[in-house]
Amino acid sequence: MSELSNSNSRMIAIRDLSPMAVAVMGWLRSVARALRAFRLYRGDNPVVLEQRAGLITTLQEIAKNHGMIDLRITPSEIYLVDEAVVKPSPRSDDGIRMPEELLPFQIYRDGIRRLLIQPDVTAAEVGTLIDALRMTGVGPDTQDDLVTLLWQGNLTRIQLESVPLEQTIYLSVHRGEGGGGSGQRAQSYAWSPAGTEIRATIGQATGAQGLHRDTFDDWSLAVTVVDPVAGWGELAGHVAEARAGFLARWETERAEPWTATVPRLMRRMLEAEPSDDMRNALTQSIVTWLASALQHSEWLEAQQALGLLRELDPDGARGNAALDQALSGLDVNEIAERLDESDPDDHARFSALVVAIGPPALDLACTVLCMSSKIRPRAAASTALTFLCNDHPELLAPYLVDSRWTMVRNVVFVLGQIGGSAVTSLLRTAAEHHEVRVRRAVVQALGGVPREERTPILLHQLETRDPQLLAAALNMLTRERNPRVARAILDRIEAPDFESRSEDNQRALFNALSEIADDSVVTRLETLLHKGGWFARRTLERVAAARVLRRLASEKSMAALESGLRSKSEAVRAACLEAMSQRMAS
Amino acid sequence: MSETPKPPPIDTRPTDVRYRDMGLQLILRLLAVIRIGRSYQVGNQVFRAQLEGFMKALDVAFAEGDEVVLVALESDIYLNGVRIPMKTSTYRHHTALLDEFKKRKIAGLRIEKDVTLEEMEKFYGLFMQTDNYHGSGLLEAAIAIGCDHVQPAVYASTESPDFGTTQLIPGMMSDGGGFYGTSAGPATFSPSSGAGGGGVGDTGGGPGGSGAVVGPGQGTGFGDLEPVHGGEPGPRGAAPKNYSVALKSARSLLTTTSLQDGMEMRHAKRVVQPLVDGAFESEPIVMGLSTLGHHDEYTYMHAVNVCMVAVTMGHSLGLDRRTLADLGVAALLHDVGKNAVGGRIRNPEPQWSEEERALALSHPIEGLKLMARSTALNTTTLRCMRVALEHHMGPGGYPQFADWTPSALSELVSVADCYVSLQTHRSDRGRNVTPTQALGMMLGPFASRFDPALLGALVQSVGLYPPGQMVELDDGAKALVLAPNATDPARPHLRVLMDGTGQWLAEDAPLEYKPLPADRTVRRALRVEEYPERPSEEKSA
Repeated sequence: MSELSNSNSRMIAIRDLSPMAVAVMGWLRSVARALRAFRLYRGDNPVVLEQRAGLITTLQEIAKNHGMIDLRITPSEIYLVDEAVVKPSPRSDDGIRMPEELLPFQIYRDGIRRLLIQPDVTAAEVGTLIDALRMTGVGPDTQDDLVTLLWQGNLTRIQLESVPLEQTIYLSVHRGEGGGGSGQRAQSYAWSPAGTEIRATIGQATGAQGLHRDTFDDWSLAVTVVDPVAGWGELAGHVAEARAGFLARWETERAEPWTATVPRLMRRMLEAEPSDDMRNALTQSIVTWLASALQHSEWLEAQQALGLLRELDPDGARGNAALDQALSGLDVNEIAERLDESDPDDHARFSALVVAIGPPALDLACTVLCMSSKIRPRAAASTALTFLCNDHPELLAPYLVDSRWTMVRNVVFVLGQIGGSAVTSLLRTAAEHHEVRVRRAVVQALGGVPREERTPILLHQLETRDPQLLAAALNMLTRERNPRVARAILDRIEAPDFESRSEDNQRALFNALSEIADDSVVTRLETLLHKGGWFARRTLERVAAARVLRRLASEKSMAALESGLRSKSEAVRAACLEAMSQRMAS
Repeated sequence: MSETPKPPPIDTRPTDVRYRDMGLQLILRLLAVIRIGRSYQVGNQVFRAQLEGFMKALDVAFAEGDEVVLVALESDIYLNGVRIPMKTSTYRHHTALLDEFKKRKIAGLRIEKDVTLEEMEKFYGLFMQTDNYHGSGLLEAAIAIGCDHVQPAVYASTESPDFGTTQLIPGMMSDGGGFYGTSAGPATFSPSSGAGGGGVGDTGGGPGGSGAVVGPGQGTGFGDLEPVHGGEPGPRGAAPKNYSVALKSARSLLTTTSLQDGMEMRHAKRVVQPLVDGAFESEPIVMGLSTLGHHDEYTYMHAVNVCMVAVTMGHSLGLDRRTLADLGVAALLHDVGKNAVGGRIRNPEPQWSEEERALALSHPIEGLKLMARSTALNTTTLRCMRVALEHHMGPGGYPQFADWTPSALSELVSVADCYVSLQTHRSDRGRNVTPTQALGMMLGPFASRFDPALLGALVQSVGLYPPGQMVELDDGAKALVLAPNATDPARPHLRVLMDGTGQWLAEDAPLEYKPLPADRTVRRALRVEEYPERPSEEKSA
C-alpha cells in the first residue's frame, strides 16, 4: 500500500475535524508561519505588525463564533479537546517539516500543558500570547520562559496550566478517587490560592538549611523604640505624597534603558574595588550581555557591550575564553537567517563587530558565511573574516576539516582573499577535499599565492576529470611559461589512462601544453606523434601533438613536423599535414 | 600500601540541577537495559553489563538520598519529584521510556539504595516479560520473589489518592514506612531539597505515618510546612500544594552554593510567581514571620521572608507583576554576598575586628560580584545586582558612592530586609525584640533612613501589629496576630489565646477574628516577657 502524501493525509485529516477544529488548526498554522517571519524581522516591521494584527483578529473571531478554545499540549501535538489540530505529518523523504509541527514543542518545553482561551478574549491578551511565543522562539537562551511571559501578562481570558519545576508525587497501587494520574498538576495562576488557603507558618527546622552561611547581623538594633501606632500617626500624613514621588522615581528609573545603566554601574564598581576579582566578574557578566545581543541581532547593543568589554578587558585576556564559550552556544542559523533579511547597514555592523570581537567571533562569522543564502551577508562575513585572519590565517584551519563542504569552500574563498604564502599550506589541505566544488575554489584561491608555491598544488589538480576544475587549474598554470608545468602536463598526456579522459579533458590538456611548451618537450611530442608505428590510427592525441608542435613553431618543432610528413604512417602524415596547413592558413 | 581512593569532587550545583542531569542518564541507561533485554536473556553477560551500567547511574543518584523514584506523569518524567526537562535532543528517549512504562501499565520505578545487582536482575526477569507481568501484577510478582528494594510504581499522581481505596499488598510494608504505605495511606514523594539537616514538613506523609517523602536532598529540612487546612496533614489539593512547591523550589534554588555554578534567572522567576500571586490575593499574606525570632546560621528563611515582605510591599505600592517578579528574585538573592564573607566572621558585631568589619561591609559588593559571575546579564539580573549592592546604601549605610542613587527596588528591599533582620537579631537584646518593636524601630529611629512611602507600604503589608505579635485586646484578652488587615492596620486578623479573665481558650476551639471587628480594639502589643505561656497540663489536655 502506498503511503499517502503529506498533502493528501492533511486533506483527509481536515475532513475529519469539526468546524471549530479546522478554524483553530488554520490559526495555529498561521501562528507558526508568522513566528518564522517574526524571527526574521524586528517587532516594528510592517510585515510583523500586519501578521500580528491578523492573528489577533482571527483568534478573537474563532473564540467568539465557536466558544472557549481548550488546547491540550503534548510534545508533538496540540489537541482541541480531543481533536488533534497539530500533529506530526508522515515524514517525507526530504525531511521537511511543516512550520506548525515545531509549535507544540515550543509551548510544551517550558511546562505548558493546557491553554484555555475564553470566548471574550481581548486583543491585548491574544497579543501577549503571540508576543510571548515570538520572544521564546528566538535563540536558545531567552530571558524569560513562556510561562513567565504569560504570567507577567496577567491574563484573565487566557488561562494556562503548567507543570512546575518540581512536583509532589503520590504513588499508590490503585488509582485514587482523587483523580489519580490526571489530577490538578498545574502551577496554574488562573486558579491561584486564596490568601486564607496559603497562609502557613514557615518554621525553621533545626540545622543547616540555607543558601549560605550567615554568621553576622548586617543591621543594628535601634536603642529606642517608638509605639508603631504613634509613629504611624506622625508618618501617615506624608505617605501619599511620598508614594507618588517614589512611583514617579521608579517610572523614571524604569524608563531608562538597562543597557545605559550597565556601563555606569560597572565603572563605578571598578572604582570601588579595582581588583582582578572584580574585573573578572564584570568581564564575565558583560560577555553574557554581548552574547545575548548577538543572538538577538541587536548589533548596536552588541557594539555597546563590546565597547565596555574592551574597556574592562582590553586585550581579551580575561574574557576571551568565556566569550568563546558564550558564542559557541549561539543559534547561528537564526542569526544568519535574520541577516539575510536585514539591510546593508546591519551587514556592515555585523562585519565590524566580528572584526572587533576578534578570534572568538570566528565561528560565528564562518557559520554565517556558510548558512547565509544572500550575497550581502556572505560578503559581510567574508570581509570580516578576511580582516580577522589576515595576520593569522591558520585560525581558519579547523574549518577546513568541517563536515560541511560549503563551509570549507567559503573558508577557502576567504583564504584566497587573504592570499600570500601564509595560506599555502591551508590551501594544500583543502586541495585534497573530496568535494570538487571545494577544489575549484582552491584553484581560484591559489591566484593570490606566489607562483612557485601554488604550482605544485595546481599540478596535483591535473589528475582530476572534472572539466571545470581542470580548466581552472590549467588556466592558472599557463599564466606563465614554465617548463616544469609543461612536463607535468605532458606526463598526464602520456599517462596510460589518458585515453579514458573525455575529449574535452584531453583537448584542455593539449591546449594548455601548447600555451607553455618549449623545445624541451619536442622529443616527447614527436614520440606521441609517431605512437603506434605502422598501425597508427588517426587519434586526437596524434593530431593534438602535431598541433602543439606547430604552435611551438621553433626550429626543432618544425623539424619534427617535417619529419612526420615523411612518415610511412598515413595517420602521422595526415596529422602533420593538418597542423602545417593550419599554420599556412593562419 | 594501597592508596586511599580520592573522594569524588563535590558537586556544588543546585540539587534540582543535579537531579535533572542524573535523570537523563538514568533514562538512557534504563532504555539500554530494556533494549538489550529484548535480545539477550536476563543473566546473560551482555545484559548484566548493561545492568551494571544502570546500577552505576543509580549510585550517583543514591549519593543524594536513599531512594530513587523515576515516574512518568502524563508526558513528563520525574526523578524524585524533579521534572526532567525534555529537549529536542532527548525527546525520543523520553517518549521511548514513557512507552515502556505504558506497555507495562505502570507509572515508573522506585529503587532503594540497598538494592543489589542480583535483586535487580530478578526484577528485570519479570519486567522484561511485558505480556505476563504488568500493573499491580508486576508489583505483586516482584514482592513475591523478594524484590524489596526495586519495585514498580503502579500509579503516580500529584493528588493524594483516596486513602480508603488504597489497598495493602502483603509484603509491601517495610519497617516504619513502606513504599506504598500501609493501609492508612499512600506514600508521597515530594521535591524537598537542600543541604544539611532538618526535616521536611510533611515527612511522614499521611495518617499512619507510613508515607515517605522523597525528593532532592531528601531527608533534609525545608522546614515545618504546617497543615494549611485546620490541622489536616499534608498538602491537599492544588492551591496549598502550589504554594509549598513554590517555597520548596525557592529553597532548592537557594540551597548550597548554587550561584557558584551559574543560575538561571528564568528558574528564579518561576519560583517567585506563586509568591507574587499570593500578594495579589485579596486577603493580605505575610508568611513565616511568626517564627522569626529563631536564629539560624543560614539565610534561606531570611531570604524568603524578605522576599515576601518586599513583594507584598511592592504590591501595595501598585507595582506591576513583572516588576514584582524581578523584585521577588532580587529580594531572594539580596544577601548572596554573605556567602563569600560569612565564614570568616566569627565574632558578634560588638567584638568585630577591623578585618571582620571590613568583610561584613563588603558583602553587598561580594553579592554583586557573585551574580556577575554566575548569571546572564539582562534586565532582571541588573536589578538583582543593584539590590545586592545597594540594599545597605541609605544614609549612613554602605558602600557609599558619590553621585550614585540607589534603585527604587533596592530601597524597597532595604526596608524589608531591615524589618525582618531586626526580628532575628543575634544580640541578647535582639532575642527579645518583638515584631511590633521591630516595626517601632522602623517607624521611629530608622524612619529618617527610609522613604516614607516605603514605610507606609511596610505598615500596609504587616500592619501596626505584625504577624507573630502577641497583643492585649480592649477586654484584656491576649491574642496572637495572624495576619495584617490591609484596610485597617490597627485591626489585624487574630487568634485569641486567653480571654479577658486570664482563662486559656481550648486549642481545638480557637476564637479567631478575621479581622478584628470595628467595635474592638487592640489595647497594646505585649513585650516578650509578657507573653503568656500555656500551662503544661493545659497543653497536654
